[in-house]
Amino acid sequence: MGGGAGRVWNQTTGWLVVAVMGGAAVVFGLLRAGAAGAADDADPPSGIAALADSDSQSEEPALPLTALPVVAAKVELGRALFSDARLSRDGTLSCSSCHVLALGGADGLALSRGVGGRLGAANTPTVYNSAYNFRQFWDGRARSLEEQIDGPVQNGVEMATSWPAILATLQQTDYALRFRVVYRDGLTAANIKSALAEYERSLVTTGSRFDRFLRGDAAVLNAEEKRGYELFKSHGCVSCHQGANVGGNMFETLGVMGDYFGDRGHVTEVDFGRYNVTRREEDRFKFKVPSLRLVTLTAPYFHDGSAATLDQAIDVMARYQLGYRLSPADRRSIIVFLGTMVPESFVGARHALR
Amino acid sequence: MLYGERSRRSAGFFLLLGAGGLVGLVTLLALSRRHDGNTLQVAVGEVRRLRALDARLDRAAVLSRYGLQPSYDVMVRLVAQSHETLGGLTDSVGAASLDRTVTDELGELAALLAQKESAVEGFKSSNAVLRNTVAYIPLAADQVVQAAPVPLVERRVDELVRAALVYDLDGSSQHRLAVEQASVRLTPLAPSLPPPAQAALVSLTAHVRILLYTREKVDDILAQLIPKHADSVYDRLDQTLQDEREQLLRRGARTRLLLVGVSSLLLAAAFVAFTQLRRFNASLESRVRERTDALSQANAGLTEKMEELNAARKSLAEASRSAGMAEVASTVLHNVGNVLNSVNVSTTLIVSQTRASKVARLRMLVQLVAANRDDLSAFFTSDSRGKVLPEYLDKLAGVLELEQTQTLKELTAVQKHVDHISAVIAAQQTHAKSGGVVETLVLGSLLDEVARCHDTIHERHGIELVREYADLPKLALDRHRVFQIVMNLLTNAVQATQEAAERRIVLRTRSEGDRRLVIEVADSGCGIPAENLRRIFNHGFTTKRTGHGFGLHGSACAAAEMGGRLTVASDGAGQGACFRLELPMTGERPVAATSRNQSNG
Repeated sequence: MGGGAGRVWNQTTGWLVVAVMGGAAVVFGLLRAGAAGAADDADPPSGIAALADSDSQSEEPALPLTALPVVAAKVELGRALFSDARLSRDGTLSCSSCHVLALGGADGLALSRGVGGRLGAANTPTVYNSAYNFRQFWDGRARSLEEQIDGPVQNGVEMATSWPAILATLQQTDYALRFRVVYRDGLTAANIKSALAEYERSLVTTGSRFDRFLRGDAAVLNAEEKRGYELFKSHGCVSCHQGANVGGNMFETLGVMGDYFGDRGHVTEVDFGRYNVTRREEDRFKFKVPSLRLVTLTAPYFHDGSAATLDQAIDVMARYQLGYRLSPADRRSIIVFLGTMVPESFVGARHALR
Repeated sequence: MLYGERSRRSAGFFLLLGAGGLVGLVTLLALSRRHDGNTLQVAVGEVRRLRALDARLDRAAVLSRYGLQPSYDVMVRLVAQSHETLGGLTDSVGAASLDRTVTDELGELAALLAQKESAVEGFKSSNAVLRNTVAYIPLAADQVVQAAPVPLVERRVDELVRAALVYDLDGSSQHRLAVEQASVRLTPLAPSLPPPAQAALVSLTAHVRILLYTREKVDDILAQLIPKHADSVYDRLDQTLQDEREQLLRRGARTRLLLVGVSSLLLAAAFVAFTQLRRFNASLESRVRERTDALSQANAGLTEKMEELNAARKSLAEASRSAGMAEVASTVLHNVGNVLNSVNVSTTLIVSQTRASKVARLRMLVQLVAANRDDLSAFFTSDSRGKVLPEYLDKLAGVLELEQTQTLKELTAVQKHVDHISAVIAAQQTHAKSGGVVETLVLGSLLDEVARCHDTIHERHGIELVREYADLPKLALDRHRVFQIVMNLLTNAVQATQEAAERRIVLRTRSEGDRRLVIEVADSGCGIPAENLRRIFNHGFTTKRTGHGFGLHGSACAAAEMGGRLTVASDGAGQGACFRLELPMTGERPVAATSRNQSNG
């Protein structure tokens, strides 16, 4: 009895040892042969980084826009969320409440109203082409589109809610399933932001006449439009409003040649601009230079929404940034030129304010 | 068993070795992954990439500085890439978990890059203003000259513009002074100028001021942007990472060597285990063979014993058959003996009767007649003997007729007995213990037949025979078995009452329910003591001096064979006994019992 059991045991052990050895050898071999480091699932580069990687000099201060590579499934989720009022505390406000796509991506107000009718701090910038801005918000406190979303969501005068509250609401809906299909870890705050940002990246206004002109089609602009562009350049507007987004890639003081805030009065914290982020004196009154791509659609202008018309805005800019006055004719030419940056039959121009 | 003990220990040893080897393998694998130089190679690459990006950023800044690159998009992209690469580098270094020097130097580089980033922002702002101002100064100058086309004004304005542009390019303090001086020389001219010229001059002076301010600022910022110590930071980090990598590779090589060693050891162990296994297998087989042989031998012995057992069983069966046969034979003999008794009695009677026959008187009469042949008529009329002769002859005829009747009666009985005997023997021969001939008969008649066998005995001993027969229809019974049983019972009853005070035997038949037939033979004889009641049907049990003990046993067996049973009841010695034969009944429903009292007395 004992001998027999011992022999069976021994047999099993022998094969166990051999099998373990074989398995270990295979595993070992595979591990050594395998390439080091897993490729991480990085998001595709967005905004300016997506531009062709060349330091080639260009004579032109402005560059044409190109569509950004996006994941369609994520864009669809973002599109749904963008107009979903459940992202606000009382279900009255969605992103599209202030960033109205049909109104050039803004709402035509100097300052927007959030949950409970509370007044916002700064003028709503357009959501179009925001992927091409090197920072988000007037004071540039958000480095990316994803980071920007935290702002309005958690701001008491905007959507006045929190991510846990939003997740609790959305978990009950079919978003839970839809997110699980697209994102591995399903419905999370990070993934909601990812989807919204992906949608925003899809909102790029390519194919305008100005871009065609930049690409070499000289005949696409008329004489006045060309004159307007020349004035735009010669008067130094392009010092700040340059690049693919015609702005949006640097900070600048509002009031270089004159005391804008002193003249306007009622200075508040929001007027300190970049200083609120870096706490450096030289950054006081510095703001992110906005893009002028859809400027003909997004009155009123400046962070305080103080210029009701583009004509007024150009006048203010000339005085405080360039230190001289532009004639009405010049201003008109510039306005006409600026209009060429809006793509023809642009959906956001349906109810444009001129 | 010593062999089992050894194999168990050997199994334990191999298991331990295998487990230990596996643990060692896993540890070494984990170590080798840590001692992987690849992560650090990636880190070194990232440092070099940062350096390259840095250089390109510097170049872009300079181009923008001199108005050769109007768009800041390139700089923005380079900063973003730098930021990303720094993140990757931090991750790689973190993953490799190196010592403090690397982390410190990395911190230094991160600080450097952060400083660069903020410098870039400052540069863009200041540079924009500077470029704009420098572009505008000639235009502003034109406006002044247009508004006041005075040669002095022209000359002074021209001086200022030239100084400004030169200062912008050169940035030397000498040329800065020239600009300041040129600006100062213009100032006193202001009041004499017409208002538009004055306004234009104000604008021009403002721009010159801006130029002076921002030109310095931009230089400072550029110095921050392209720090002199940047190179050394990169160099040092690069070197440190390289050194770390070297170390790691050396350690990795050692680990791999160990790994190979442990693997080969385990492989050798596996090989040894395998050979041991084969040896064990071979020994196992031989032992199995031994055992199988032993088993077959045992099996053979067993088969022998089995055969012996079978033979014994056969002889036992035969013996029992013989015993059975003997029993059967004895039963036959007993039953036949009973009947033969009656035959004997009858034949004795016939012989004595015939011997005592009055036929001799007839001869005497014939002699008398012959003697008186000559004068027969005188004999018959005058002789005293002759006169009574016809009457005497008549009486003699009567007696002889009576004798004939009696003899015939006895002979008929004998005939019947002989038939019975043949039947019994035939029955035993053909049907053995089972089966029997079933006839439809009147039970009462059968019982009467049995009674008749004992008639003489009944007479001689003065035994009263009472018949109580129920009114039964014709029944289907095994005639000879029933005859035997009742015969047996009656014989016993006769023997029991022979010497008794009261001599009476009752023969009863009745039905119980419509399924059962009961035949009772009750006597007033010597009875049966209680202790014998149980044993009375046993084979060989007898209380008679000349008994065999077969009768009641055989009767009981016969009853059972017919599907019935034989029982006895007695109140004890001297109290008589009642034997009861129960049989299953097949026939019509019987009517109530009647009794017929007949006495043979």
